[in-house]
Amino acid sequence: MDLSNIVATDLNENNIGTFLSEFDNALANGDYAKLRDAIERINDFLVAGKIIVSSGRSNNQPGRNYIEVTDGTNTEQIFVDDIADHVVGKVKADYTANPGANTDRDAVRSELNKNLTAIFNQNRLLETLANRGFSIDEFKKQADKANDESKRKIDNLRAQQKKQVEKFEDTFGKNTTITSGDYTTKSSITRIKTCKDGIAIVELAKDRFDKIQDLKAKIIADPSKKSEYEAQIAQLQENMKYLGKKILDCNFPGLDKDMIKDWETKPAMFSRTFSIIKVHIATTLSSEYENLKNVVAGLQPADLIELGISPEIKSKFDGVMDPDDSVSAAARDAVDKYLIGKQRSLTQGIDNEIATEERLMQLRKENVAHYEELTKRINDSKVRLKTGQCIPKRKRDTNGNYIVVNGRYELDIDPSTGNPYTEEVMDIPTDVATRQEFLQKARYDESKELIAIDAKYESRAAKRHALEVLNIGNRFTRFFAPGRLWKKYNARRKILASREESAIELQMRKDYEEIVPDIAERFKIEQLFSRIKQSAAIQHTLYSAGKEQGWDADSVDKSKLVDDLERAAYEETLYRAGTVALNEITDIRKKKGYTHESVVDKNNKQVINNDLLHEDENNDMEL
Amino acid sequence: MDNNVEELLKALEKVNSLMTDENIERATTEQLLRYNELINKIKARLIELV
Repeated sequence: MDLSNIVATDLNENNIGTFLSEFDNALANGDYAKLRDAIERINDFLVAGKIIVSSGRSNNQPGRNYIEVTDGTNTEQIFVDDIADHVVGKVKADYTANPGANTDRDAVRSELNKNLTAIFNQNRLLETLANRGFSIDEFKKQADKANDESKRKIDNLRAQQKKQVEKFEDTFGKNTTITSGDYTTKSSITRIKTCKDGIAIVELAKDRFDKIQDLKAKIIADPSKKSEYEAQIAQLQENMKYLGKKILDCNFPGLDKDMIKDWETKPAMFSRTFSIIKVHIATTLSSEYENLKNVVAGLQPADLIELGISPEIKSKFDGVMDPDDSVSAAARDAVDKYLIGKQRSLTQGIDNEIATEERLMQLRKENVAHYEELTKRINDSKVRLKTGQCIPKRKRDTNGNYIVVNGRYELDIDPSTGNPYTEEVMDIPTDVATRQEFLQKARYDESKELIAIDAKYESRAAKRHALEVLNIGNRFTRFFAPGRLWKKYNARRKILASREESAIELQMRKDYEEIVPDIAERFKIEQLFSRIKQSAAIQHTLYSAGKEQGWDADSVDKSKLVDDLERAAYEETLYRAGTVALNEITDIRKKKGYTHESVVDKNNKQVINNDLLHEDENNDMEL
Repeated sequence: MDNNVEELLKALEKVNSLMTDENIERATTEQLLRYNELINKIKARLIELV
């Protein structure tokens, strides 16, 4: 397999093993260029549109995830888990091989952590889901289901671990201490380890003892250094006393503390004790291995499989008593390795698997919290559309017409949330009857509107402005003959029509707000916030203007003023601040001459202008 | 920084860049959900390191 030019087939279920071993070889040889090429090739398949983003479980090896890659003709399954595990394994191995604190290494860890979400583009994935309207409840349901599976998996792992440990301990013994503490049992491997510890201790003692004898001889040869050598002897003897205590801890039968007492000073005593211990350990070990050999020889094939004893390992058990010392020594080493490794994998291996599964459950929980926040933000941003065009979705009948019940649209409710779906465009009804229904409810009075329009656009300047907005005439005709254009193009009627549309839209929104109070509330907040910001901007402009005119600049803290107003929108004082802002806007309008009163008709009729809701359509607010 | 780790990290980043915006847009909702779960599973193992 050429890593520099791998093809999708190289990564399928049959070939992934070869790929990974090639990966190892390249790594061992430091051939990073090749590794890079391989990874880039994988990337090419995925990025160049050849990937079908899908994951699933292999039929042959359930539990392993793969990603399907197609070259247009054939589809291959890439085992990303294996690739990811491998990379992680290697990084871990590198940490193990180079232990200790290291800033660069810490940076690597932190980089890896930081990149985890980003490199998987998981945020984008979740955003896409949220934008498609996949509900948080459904998302949570999926996570709960997966977590239930994880819980079951953990339970199974624990049961499996318990069963395997029991089987192992039944076969090879276990370490126990009964409650009274005066009776203990030890497993075979513990007993073997104790013997081996004993050998190490007694060999050390022998080394110390020989050194003491050497030093004693040196004192006779060179009495002038007596005190120096005696000090060294004293130290070695102290050390031997300690080793004596350690050997007693091994609890070898036939060895009592009198045999160890003062052994550092008595050559005869030491030699005897030394040989007793050595013989005893050799006998004990032989008996342990003999026992192991017999235990394994008596196991049924099913037991061997359950205990993970392959024919090769079994042959080692058979060889522990071989008369050829080198053969038996090698067999005993292999048996020790099996027992220690198996014991470790029974606890550590499964514990790690459980820990990973528990982390996965935690990740899913975090995932749900993240998604909840994301969907909320996306929904809020939809409602917050300044154009106000995001509205609850209305139900249509089979002909595609909206269903109106009692003068209200029937809403299309999302069953998973109980809230209506939203749609971004508000269609004003075109049929006369429905329009009239809304206008009536809005208490829209055409004659009043006309009076208001006449009042508002009485001056030539106002007409010019409105004509420009309506895109009637050109700058010269608008300047010289606004009145003629006004009549010729029936601008009054056009403005009236626009007001009619606005009145219908407003009434529709009110209807929705009655049905969906939450949306109404959010819409109100948005309106208020918008005004607060506007007010802040006005204050800013006023401040700047005042400053230019030589006002006392120090008496107003500009940034604080703006900050306070903006912050108010986010705090509990929003409504209060909103009211203040509204009053300020009204005050300014009064100063500019655009008040509600100014559009009340001469016969003292009711105020009909809804200017406040038609925010500054003629730039009246411009200072 | 250790070359070994640095190179491997680069490799890891590249492997993971499979989730391109284009691929995400093209995936079905069901695929996105499955992929999200897959990412969580890989993260659960990777996170042991960090």
